[in-house]
Amino acid sequence: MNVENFIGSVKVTDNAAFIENTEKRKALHESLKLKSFPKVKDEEWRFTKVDSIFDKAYMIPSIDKDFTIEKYINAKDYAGVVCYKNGFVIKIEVTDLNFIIEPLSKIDNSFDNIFKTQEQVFVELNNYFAVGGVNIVAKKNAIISKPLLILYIIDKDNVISSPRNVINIEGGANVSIEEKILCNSKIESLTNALSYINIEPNATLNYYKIQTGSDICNLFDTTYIKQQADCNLNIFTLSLKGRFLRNNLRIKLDGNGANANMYGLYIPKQNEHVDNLTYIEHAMPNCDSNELYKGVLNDSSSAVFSGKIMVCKDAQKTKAFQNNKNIVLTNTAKINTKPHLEIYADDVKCSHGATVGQLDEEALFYLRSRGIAKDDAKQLLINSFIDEVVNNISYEPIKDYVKESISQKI
Amino acid sequence: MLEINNLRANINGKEILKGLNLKIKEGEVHAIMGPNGSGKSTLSSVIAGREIFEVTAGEIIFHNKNILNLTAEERANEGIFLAFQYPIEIPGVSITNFMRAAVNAKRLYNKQEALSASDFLKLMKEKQKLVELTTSLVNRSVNEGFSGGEKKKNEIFQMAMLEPSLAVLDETDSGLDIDALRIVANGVNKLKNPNNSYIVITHYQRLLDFIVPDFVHVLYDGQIVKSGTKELALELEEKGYDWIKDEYHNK
Ligand SMILES: Nc1ncnc2c1ncn2[C@@H]1O[C@H](COP(=O)(O)OP(=O)(O)OP(=O)(O)O)[C@@H](O)[C@H]1O
Ligand SMILES: [Mg+2]
Repeated sequence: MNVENFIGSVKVTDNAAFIENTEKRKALHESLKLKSFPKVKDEEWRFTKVDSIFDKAYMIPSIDKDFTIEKYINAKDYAGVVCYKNGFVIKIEVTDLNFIIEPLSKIDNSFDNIFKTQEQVFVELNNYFAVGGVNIVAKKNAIISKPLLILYIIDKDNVISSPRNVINIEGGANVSIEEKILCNSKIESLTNALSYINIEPNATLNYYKIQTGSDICNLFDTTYIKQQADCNLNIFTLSLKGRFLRNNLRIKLDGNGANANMYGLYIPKQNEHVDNLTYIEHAMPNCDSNELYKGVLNDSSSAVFSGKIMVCKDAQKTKAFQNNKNIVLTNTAKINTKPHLEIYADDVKCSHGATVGQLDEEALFYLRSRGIAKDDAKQLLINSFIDEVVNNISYEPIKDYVKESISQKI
Repeated sequence: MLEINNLRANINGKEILKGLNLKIKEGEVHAIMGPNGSGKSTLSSVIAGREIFEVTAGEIIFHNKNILNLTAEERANEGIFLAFQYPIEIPGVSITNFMRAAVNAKRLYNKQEALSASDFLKLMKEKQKLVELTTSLVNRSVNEGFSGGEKKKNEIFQMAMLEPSLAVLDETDSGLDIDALRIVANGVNKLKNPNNSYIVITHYQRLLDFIVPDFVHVLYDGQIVKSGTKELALELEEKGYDWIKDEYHNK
């Protein structure tokens, strides 16, 4: 299906709900008409087909504020909660006043064109269809130990939702944000989320994306991050469940001495498909980036990792490391991994690598020879493999939740 | 307690064990010696149930039961233990978690309740002492970054935790310094009782000075080609294997 037909096929219940005004949406429509959905011949989409996802008819319902937060989380674990339901922001609650959160009243274009990407169509579709968004600010020098929660709840059939977060972490602040998607298991849905994050000098942000979708949910998640001087980012993309998950994570190290740690985990089963695209641009000198993505693939699942490190001409004294490791448990699971390094500066330390393997037969025998049942031995080895990512989560309740979700699935 | 009859085993279609016989009674210590590549580690692996080796003939009777159809974990829980020649490193799996899983698997197999956390830790402490393994080592991942000697001590520590009735020690002495050799051998001797048996695979007499064998066998070309008492080991130390090989090939 082409993009224009797709737009026409989306049923809209309440036209007044859109964030963007009619004029701006008209202009977006004109732009989208000229675009197409990515094809496998597009370099960044070689192993992920999206056609069948857009062949379906989706709808934007009217707002439904019915919501009991206790059903989903323990609010006490958080410094604040933003809840989207079927794309609408239905709750903003701040307990730590160092977070300022407001509904987005119009689309912020400050990140447009910061990256030249093949996912522009998803950015524009998000702008076009967004009925909810938030503007989040963490105040200067605020140190907040509990995370802020951004929750996406999908519970209506055939919903297309386009959440949009604009986040600014002011200088010297040290905060955490957890983003979680929860889908009702019986519901086919499409979520096309977009987050713009700016991290000011000397700030630290821990960002946790916890993707617990359903067997029939589709998620496109696009996150653009700009890092200023001497700031730190630890971002986790934890793809725990979901039929189709595509993450576009792009980071620009835009100030001297910025530091980014990117961690990813995917554990697809059955026919799940997870595709992680990461791009990190070292635009300034003395920045460090460290990337570790790990996958355990079962059944007939598939996954893609394409990671690119771009070291620009001025980015001297760059340290950039990237690693993607995979365990494939069956003959029918499939992983495509493509680490990529492009360097235009000369004084840099960079490395990248990828491995794909099975569970270590020798290690398995060692454990079994001590009386541990085969399945338990496998579980021990898989957990130890995964722990290399999960143990970097510094906030215990999130770590526990993730470990629990993983052990339930594997 | 163990009876191996006409055992033949392949790996990748190549026959390694070629009709091997061995009989061990309760409380006995049997040493197996033999040239490199003769099949000693293969025999250990086959006894322990490693699936990459294909058994094509024969039987292994353990406590009156043919165990060839049992999985590795079932054999372990029946009381067989293998101290590996080359213990593998398993990053990310702590020795404590590993041993807790192993001890409780065995207890479950024997229809006993799992050990409480405190009883388990007590047991760990006690057995650590036996081989003088420090707690800081035990808190690490299985064998990760261990020195060669520490890995071997860790094998005997695990053996002490699991109290097998048949332990196969595959070159546990290699890589041990003189003090460590004494510690490990003392540990083994303390665990010895009239009901458990040992197969001690080694190239050197010095281990057998500490762990004195009741019988010594020579494994060559996939068979036990000569058996004797502890004096045979001394003779081998002196004369090497050539005379055995000659005897074997002239038969
Ligand atoms: N995994 C394997 N794949 C192929 N061949 C193997 C494998 N394991 C053992 N072999 C072969 O089987 C033969 C016997 O090996 P084994 O390890 O049992 O000898 P060994 O008597 O223990 O020797 P050493 O004294 O050196 O430890 C050797 O020729 C070896 O190359
Ligand atoms: Mg050997």
